[in-house]
Amino acid sequence: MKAFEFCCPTKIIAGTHALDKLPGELADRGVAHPLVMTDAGLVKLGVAAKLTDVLDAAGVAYDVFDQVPPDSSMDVVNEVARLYAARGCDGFVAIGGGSVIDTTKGAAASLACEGVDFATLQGSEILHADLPPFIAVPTTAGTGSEVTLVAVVADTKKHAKLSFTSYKLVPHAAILDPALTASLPPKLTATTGMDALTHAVEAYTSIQKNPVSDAFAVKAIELIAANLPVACRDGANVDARASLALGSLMAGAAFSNAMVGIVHALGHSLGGLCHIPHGQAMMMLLPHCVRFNLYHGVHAGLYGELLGHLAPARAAELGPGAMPAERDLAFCDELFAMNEHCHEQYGVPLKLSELGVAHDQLPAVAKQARYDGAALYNEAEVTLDDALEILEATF
Amino acid sequence: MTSQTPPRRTLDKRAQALYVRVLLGLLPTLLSVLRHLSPKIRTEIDYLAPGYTFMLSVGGTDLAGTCTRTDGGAFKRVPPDRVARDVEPGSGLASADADAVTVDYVIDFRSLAYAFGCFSGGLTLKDALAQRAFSTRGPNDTGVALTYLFTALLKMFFGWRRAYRRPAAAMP
Repeated sequence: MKAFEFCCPTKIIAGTHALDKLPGELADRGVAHPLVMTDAGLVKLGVAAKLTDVLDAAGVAYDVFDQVPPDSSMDVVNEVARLYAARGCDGFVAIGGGSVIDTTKGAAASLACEGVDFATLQGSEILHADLPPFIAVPTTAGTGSEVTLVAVVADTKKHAKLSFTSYKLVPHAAILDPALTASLPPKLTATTGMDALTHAVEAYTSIQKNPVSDAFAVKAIELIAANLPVACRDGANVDARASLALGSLMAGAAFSNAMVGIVHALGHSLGGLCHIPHGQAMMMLLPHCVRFNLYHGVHAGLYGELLGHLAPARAAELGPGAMPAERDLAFCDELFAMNEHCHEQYGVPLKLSELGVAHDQLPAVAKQARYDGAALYNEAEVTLDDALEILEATF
Repeated sequence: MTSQTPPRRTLDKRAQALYVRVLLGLLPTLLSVLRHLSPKIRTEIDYLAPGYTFMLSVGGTDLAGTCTRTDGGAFKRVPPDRVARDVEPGSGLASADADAVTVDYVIDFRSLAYAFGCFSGGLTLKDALAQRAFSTRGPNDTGVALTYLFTALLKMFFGWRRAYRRPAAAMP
């Protein structure tokens, strides 16, 4: 067996009324004055208030930072670290999507290293100090950041997304309460859900895949495939929301230990240079990347192994005697079909041109993708021609 | 009072350490020469800015080598006493010592066995990455370029070895 490492130390608190357990979790960790991290949108929608109401009711004093932008930056990370120290906080509670949680990771890491600029910690396994107590409360079922060792933060000057990886960046607890995702509109539910699906698929095909991450990836695909359509159609369906959030978390645990590949390399580049939202980019790119890989003989047979988990009916239709290549193609077809469904039902764009990306930006996107950290974990080296071919297909 | 016995190395380990030390010393010359033979190596060197400095080190040993890219695209060795000591290598921070060389990127093998495996072709760099055989510090994009660069270099020497002829390899 190939050598590997797997670590998922996060305490998972999931299900209806899970948020009510937050004061107890803070007390268990000796946190008396947390800094609550969120963004202005969640404050406006009243989602952040669901958390602060719980703290108020329990008499927990706290400060709030609600200015995390959709694409967080180094400046924000360093500003949060300064605020935390100035206000005498003793722990973090991050309620939001990937940007909020990743910003919190950055600030917590900076504090753990005596306030150094987070930008100086780029790389892998640099952190050796433990973070301050950190509880993540995701409001989308997509990034899986509540259990991952990765923090993605934008370098606004270089128009690039920088990734930081360390087992020390993993939050200490994750609270998955379906009440927090119930108001997410179908379009956002779809794109964030496809982000989670991409994590699972790429973790299963990454060079760092291992038996434990595979188990998480496969279960995540099952949960997402079964619950994403329901959660889009009926956002108030608590079971579907809870299962989708769990699927996202499990996909996060899978890719945190196996990493991702070409889809994320291209997605990070599109995010940095063209400001395409991450989930949207993942949704558009995933089927095209799978088709590209199959056409070039990469991951032959591997995608087909996932067909029964993504589309059990299609797998049954093909039967046990189907050739691996048939299963591979069926898997790819199913991904395209999922996208088409979201496009027709919820108006999710499926082409880069629909999102305002200019054709002459593609070479720069391809170059940045080739040198993105995720590209290293792809089975085949990501060449400029390969990246450009996929971008052209998605354009 | 406690006493500490220095670790005893077998002859095998000492030979491995010597081999890695020699290769680390030869690395700048190899890169400078082989860029003329391999367009792939040249492309990746071109991606790195003049003055870019990287360090390869091996955890648990004193083995380390630092190289800096010249304006002409060659590499030269940086003597250990010229490496900045007031800032952590790979942190991107500027040294207060104007004469010292700051290291932009560090690849730190987590053991001698992993470093020897890579430098002798028993383990591809991709497999080493898959097995988390090293940690890195510094800007990701140049780290990716270095990985492509070393992969091309190692393949020129060890392309005939089993690790390079099969899709994935376990640590020998």
